[in-house]
Amino acid sequence: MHRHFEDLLEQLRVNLIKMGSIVDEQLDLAFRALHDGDLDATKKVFDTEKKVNDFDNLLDQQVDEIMALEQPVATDLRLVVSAIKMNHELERIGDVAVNIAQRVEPLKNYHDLVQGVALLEMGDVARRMVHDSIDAFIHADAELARRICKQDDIVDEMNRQKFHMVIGEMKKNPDIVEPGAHLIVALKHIERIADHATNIAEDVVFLVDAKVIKHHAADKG
Amino acid sequence: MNTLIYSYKARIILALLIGGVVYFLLLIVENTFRLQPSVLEHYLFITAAVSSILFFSFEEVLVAFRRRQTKIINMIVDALQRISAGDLSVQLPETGAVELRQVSKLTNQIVGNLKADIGKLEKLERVRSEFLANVSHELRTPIFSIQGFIETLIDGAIDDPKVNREFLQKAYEHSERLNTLLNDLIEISRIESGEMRMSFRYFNISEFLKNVVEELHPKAEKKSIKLSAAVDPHELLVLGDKDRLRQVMSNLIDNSIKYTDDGGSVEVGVTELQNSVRVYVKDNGTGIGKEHLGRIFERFYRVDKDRSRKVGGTGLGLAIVKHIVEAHNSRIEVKSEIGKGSEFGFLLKK
Repeated sequence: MHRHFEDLLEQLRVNLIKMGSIVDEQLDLAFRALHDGDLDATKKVFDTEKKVNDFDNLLDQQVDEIMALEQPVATDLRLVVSAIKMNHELERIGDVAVNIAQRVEPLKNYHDLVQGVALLEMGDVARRMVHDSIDAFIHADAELARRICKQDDIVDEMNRQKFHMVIGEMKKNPDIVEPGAHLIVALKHIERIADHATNIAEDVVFLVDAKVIKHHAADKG
Repeated sequence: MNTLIYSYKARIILALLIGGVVYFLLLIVENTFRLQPSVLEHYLFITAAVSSILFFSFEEVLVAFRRRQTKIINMIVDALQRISAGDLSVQLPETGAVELRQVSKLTNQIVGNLKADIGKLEKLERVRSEFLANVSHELRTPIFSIQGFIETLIDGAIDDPKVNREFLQKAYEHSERLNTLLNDLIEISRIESGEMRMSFRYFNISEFLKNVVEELHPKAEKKSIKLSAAVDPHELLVLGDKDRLRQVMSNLIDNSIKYTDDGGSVEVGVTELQNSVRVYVKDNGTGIGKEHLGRIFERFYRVDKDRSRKVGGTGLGLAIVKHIVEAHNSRIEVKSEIGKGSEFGFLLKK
C-alpha cells in the first residue's frame, strides 16, 4: 500500500474522530442546556451545527476521492464504507441535538415536569450510547459495540413508559398540554439518538469483525 | 527395520549392493575417460575394500551412533525430571540428531521463559506486598487521628466550647483526606487493571487549560500564589481524554501550589510543535532533588514525608498522572532544581 493511500485513510479516520468529538460535545451541551434551562448553551448547540455540516461535506469529499482514485479493498474498503454510514449517523445526531436544544425554551419553566418524567436520565443513557459508540470506533472495540446495540431496547422501553406517563399527566392537568407535547417530541428525539448510536455501533462491528449485525442479521445466521 | 539391519544376510546384501553400485559407477567413469584396464582393476580393488569396510563396520558405527543418541535422550529425560521437580538451573547442550537438538533447544527456551515469568511474578508479589503495607499505613494515619479526636470528645471535650468545634473540624478534615486517598486508590487500581477506558476526543487545549486554571484559582489565592495560563487565544485541537487530562492537570497544578511558598507563581501553558503540543506546569517552588527525580512517579514515594502529610498529599497523585499520560502514548517529563522550582511537561498528539 503506498504512502498517499495510507495518508488518505488516516485523514479520513482523523476527520471522523474530529466530527465525533464535536457531535459528542454538542449533544452533551444540548442535554446540559435542557437540564439548566440555559439559553446561552442552546445558542452554542445551534452554532456547532455548521461545524458538523462542514465535516459532513469534507468526509463525503474524502470518501469520493478514495473510492475514485484508490479503489480500496478488504479492511480499507470496510473503513470507507463505515465512514460513509457513520458520517451520516453523526450528522443526524447533530441535527437531533439541535432539535433537543429547541425544546429548552418551551420547557424551561416546567422543570418539575421534566424531572418527574426523568427525561434527562433517559437522555443520559442515549448520550452514553453515542459516547461509547465513538469510543468503540476509536479503539476498534467490537465487544463494546455489541453491548451498545443491546442498550437500544432499554431506551425504546423507556420511551414507551415515559410517553404513557406524559399522556397521563396531560390528562390530569390540561394546562400542561403544550409542554407535554414538547416533552413527547423530546422523548422521540432521544429515542432517535439511541437508534443512531446503535447504527454506529453496528458499523463498528462491520468494520472490525466484517460481520453484518443490523436488523438482527447475526441472529438469523 | 532392526531385523533387517542386524541380520548378516541383510548386511551381505547391503555390502554387495553398495559394491555393485560403486563398480558400475567406476565402469561409467572408465568409459567416459577411456581409462586402461589396469586402472579398472585398481578401482575394482577399491570397490571390494569399500564393501568390506562397510560390511564389517556398519553395525559398530550404528551401535555407537545409537549409544550416543540414547545418552542424549537420557540427558533430556533427566533434565525434564529436574525441571518438573522445580530445578531451573538446567541447561542442555544442543547436540545430537536434528530432532534431539531441537528438543534440547526448546527445553532451554522453556526454562528461560519460566525463569523470566517467575522473576516477574516475584517482582509483582514484592510490589504488591509493599503496596499493601503502604496502603495500610496511609489508611491508618487518618483513621487513628479521627479516632483520637472522637475519643477526646467522648471523654468530655464535647462540653468544652474552646475545643469541641476545632476537634470536630479536624476529624472532618482527616475523614476528607481518607476519602481522597480511597478515591485515588480506586482510580489507580482501575487504571492498572486496564478497566479504565480512555475516551479520546479532539478538543481545544487552550480553552481547556484556561478552564482548569480558573477552577484552581481559589486554591492558589489562599496562598497568594499567582496562577496563570500562558495560552494562545486561537483554537488548538489536540487528541486526548479530556476528563482524565483534567485530572492530570489538576494533580500537577495542585502539587505545584502545595510545594510553592506563599507569594510564588505557577504557570500553566502549551507550546505548539509540528505534530504535537507540549503541555507544561511550571513553578518557582521548593524544587526536587536530583536523587528523587527518578522515583517521584512511584506510588507512595515521598520526597519529604512530613511535609507531604502536612500539605495533605496521598502519595498517589503523580503515579496517576504518569499512568494517564502514558495511556495517551506520551511520557511525563520533569525538570527541577532545589530552591528554583520544577517543571512538569508532556506531549499530546495534534
